[in-house]
Amino acid sequence: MDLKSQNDSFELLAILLVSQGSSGSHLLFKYPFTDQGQIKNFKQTSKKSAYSIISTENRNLSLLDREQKSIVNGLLCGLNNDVLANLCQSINEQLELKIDNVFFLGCKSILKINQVTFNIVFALRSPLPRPAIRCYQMLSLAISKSLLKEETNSGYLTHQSKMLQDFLDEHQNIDENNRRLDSSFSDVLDKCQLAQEIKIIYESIRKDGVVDISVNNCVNLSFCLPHLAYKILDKCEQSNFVEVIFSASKYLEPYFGIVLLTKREELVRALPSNSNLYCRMFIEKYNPVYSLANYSAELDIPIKEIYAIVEHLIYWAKVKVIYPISENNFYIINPNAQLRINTKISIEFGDEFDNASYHYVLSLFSEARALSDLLDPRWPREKHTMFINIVIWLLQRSVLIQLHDYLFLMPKKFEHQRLACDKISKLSDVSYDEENECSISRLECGACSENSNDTENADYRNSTLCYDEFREILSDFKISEKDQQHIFKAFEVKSEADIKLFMRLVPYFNGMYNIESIVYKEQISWSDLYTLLDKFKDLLFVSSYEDPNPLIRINIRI
Amino acid sequence: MIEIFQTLDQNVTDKILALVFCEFDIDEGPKIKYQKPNDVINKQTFDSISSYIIPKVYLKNKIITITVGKYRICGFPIYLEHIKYKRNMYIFNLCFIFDKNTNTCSYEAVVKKLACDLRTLEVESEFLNNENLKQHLPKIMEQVQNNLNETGECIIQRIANLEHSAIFLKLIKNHLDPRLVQSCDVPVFVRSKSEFEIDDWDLTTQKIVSSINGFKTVSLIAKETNIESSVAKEAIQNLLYSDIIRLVPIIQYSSMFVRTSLIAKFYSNSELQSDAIKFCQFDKEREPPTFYDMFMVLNMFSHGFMVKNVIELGNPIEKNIDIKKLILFGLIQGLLRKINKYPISLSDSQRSKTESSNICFPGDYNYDKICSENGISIKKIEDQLDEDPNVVICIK
Repeated sequence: MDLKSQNDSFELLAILLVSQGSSGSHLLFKYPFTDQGQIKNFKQTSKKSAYSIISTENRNLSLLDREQKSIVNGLLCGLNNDVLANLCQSINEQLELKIDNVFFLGCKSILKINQVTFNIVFALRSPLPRPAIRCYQMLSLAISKSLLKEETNSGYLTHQSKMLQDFLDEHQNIDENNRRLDSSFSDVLDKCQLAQEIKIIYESIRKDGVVDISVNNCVNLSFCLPHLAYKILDKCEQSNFVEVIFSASKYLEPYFGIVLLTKREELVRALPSNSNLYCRMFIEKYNPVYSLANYSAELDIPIKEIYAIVEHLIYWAKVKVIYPISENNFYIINPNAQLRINTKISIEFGDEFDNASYHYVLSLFSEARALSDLLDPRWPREKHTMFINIVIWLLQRSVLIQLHDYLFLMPKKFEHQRLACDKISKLSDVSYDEENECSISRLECGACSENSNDTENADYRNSTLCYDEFREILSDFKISEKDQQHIFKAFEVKSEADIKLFMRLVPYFNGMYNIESIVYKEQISWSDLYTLLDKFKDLLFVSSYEDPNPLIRINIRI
Repeated sequence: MIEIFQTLDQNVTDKILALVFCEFDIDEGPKIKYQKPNDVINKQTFDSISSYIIPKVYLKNKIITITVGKYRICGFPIYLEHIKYKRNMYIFNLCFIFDKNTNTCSYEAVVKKLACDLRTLEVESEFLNNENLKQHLPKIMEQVQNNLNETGECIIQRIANLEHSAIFLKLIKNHLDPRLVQSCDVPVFVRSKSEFEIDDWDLTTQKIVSSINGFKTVSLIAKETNIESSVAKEAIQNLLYSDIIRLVPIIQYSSMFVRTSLIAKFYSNSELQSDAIKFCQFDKEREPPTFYDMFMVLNMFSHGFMVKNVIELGNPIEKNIDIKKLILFGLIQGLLRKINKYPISLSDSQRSKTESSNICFPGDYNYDKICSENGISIKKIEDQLDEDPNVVICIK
């Protein structure tokens, strides 16, 4: 392997295969390794200036800096192979060791053959996101498991490790300090299959974070490191995206939909032959206008199962979660979208859609208009489909984001929590409390008088009696007596059914639930909801903004 | 729902759980000499990881972090060679113990510094090999742990009455690099001036700090204080790094702002509401604005509505709301974000340049940036755009 780039900053430094037995610990294989010539080259280039002052006194200050660096040109250096072998000996749990700025990660060793323990250890550059540490440990376990399986099948590991060990013993390339050199690894690479497999694993992690090989052409090993598989627009702003991907189930909602990030045919082809039947059905049914609940109903698969499939596809960086595409959706340009002329994305866009102008299309989305307003009914069918395809393409690359309507309960002169808050903070403020009590009593008086006025109309009185119940609901949402009074006042002219529906929906009117979620959760129709909102518009504020759900917010680049 | 999203960002408690002083005993091998508080690491756990705490000589002077059970242990083993020691060698390591989920990166420098300080003490006055002096160590360990956990700093002077001995430790949080300051940005204080001692800063920064009022752009501040713009930018970036200021976009009558999902937080957080009422009151003599009015005005900001439209419709003065301050409050709290116009010329870049003046629209420049970099007004850009049919405008 040659030193491709001088400033290689890839996180994976090396994969190590370590054995530990009665004869001590051995590093059986390491990839990538350094050739003797390269090390020499490096030593020459890093020669110190002839004019540098050599000081012996400031030893303490430069204690670390004078030591050998652990990472040189993206390769693991500074620790020789015997040291590495000793370091990576397994304690009884997952290995998580950090020396200066190098992480060593491995799993609990399960590979014990004839009193010899084998372990796959990854050497990585720090810092690493927390979930990535777990990922590498899981990958180490996955590799160990498939090796164990192949060992029981055909004694693969015994055979291969013996070959590696013999090679090491034969080619004792030992330098003047009695340290084993790497050059034997390059010899063994051509002859040993396990070494080749480790090389392939390294290279596929480097390529896109997806490992898919057959150990000894037999046991299938496929694994994904999502933090490498996803290409993210603004890495530092979304530093927690890996956590989000790992806990995707927490954020999934049945009214969400998906867009595939690869072509459907490609994805179907990539599925292993023994893949879940539901998963296959789901991908074949794929349509960006469906919600997950729709898929569940159409395919007759329980929603939990759909969630599991989607989570799986999210983990493998195959889908992006969106709201199902509908003509009522409002889209705007993502603040992170790339607008510079002649960039890769604008050229790709032109190639994909008949030389259409990326920037012209984006300018259409500048004013937060509904999709239906952008679609001209006079267009031929093909143009219509193409425009929807453009929207899908832009959604896949997170160029567009969607706005949703959120609702706030806001009666006139609403004070919300201020009353409650003031009451707690200022107990001495007696006059305030008195006033409050006074207002309550006035309210009761009002209620009484209302009742007395309506004595002739018994039916009406009965229908309005559930105010107490409403009061309880509103108090739960920390709405003060005074505000409740305003709300009840507004109720006077409304019909009983409307009031009941309104009160049912009150918990959603705090700006955390958009119309889509209310429609799904309360199983009411869009038109009913909008009619209701219109009837109570004096009490409500509508505000539109992006869904804060982090799954929706992941900005993917393809 | 919002709360769940926020917990992701919160760090787990990153306090030091214990300090352990280990050394290599000639008879017993690696052992724990002192532990404060006692019995966090038991003998069995220690034995399983002792090869990382008192490692072979090739791992000396390296920061070694090992995770075991529910703990993460960070140490810096020191080897001292001298004929006065038995076997001519003395090995010690003062380890910090954390919870296994702690991010120990910011502690690494402290671990190393403390180890080096102890090494100096040992070399100069045999602090670790003289029983009379060594008995002070547990107390020092306790003090280091308490002070670092409480204030992030620890200063111990005249250790065990030794002349010229001192330990200075400071925990430096790992910051991200502050973003580049642009001429059209507006610096705003996010901490009150009394919280930091401005007299300690350099003269340029002092001048700039006195000029920041929350509405002046960087270029205006540079002009007013007569400081070269690149120097001013650097000073402001410095303040940004220290978390004293935040940068917000410029607020003009023609600016557009949109609400963000954090407005739901504003609706339910009464503390934020009373802050806003205090901050945005226009006339201190009159009755303060109500939450209802503020929320209504805030809710008017959306696509296609410029600040002047909001003023016309919302009539903030009558409601005793200072609209500029309300926007500023919204920007700082993340309730609002600015959306900008990006003119993009679709024709070849060369042609658009020769056609009219020498301003070009490469796509990633918004109005604010074009204005401040070319020193022209928005009106002038719009005039030029009117002439050029090949320019589209994207708003993001």
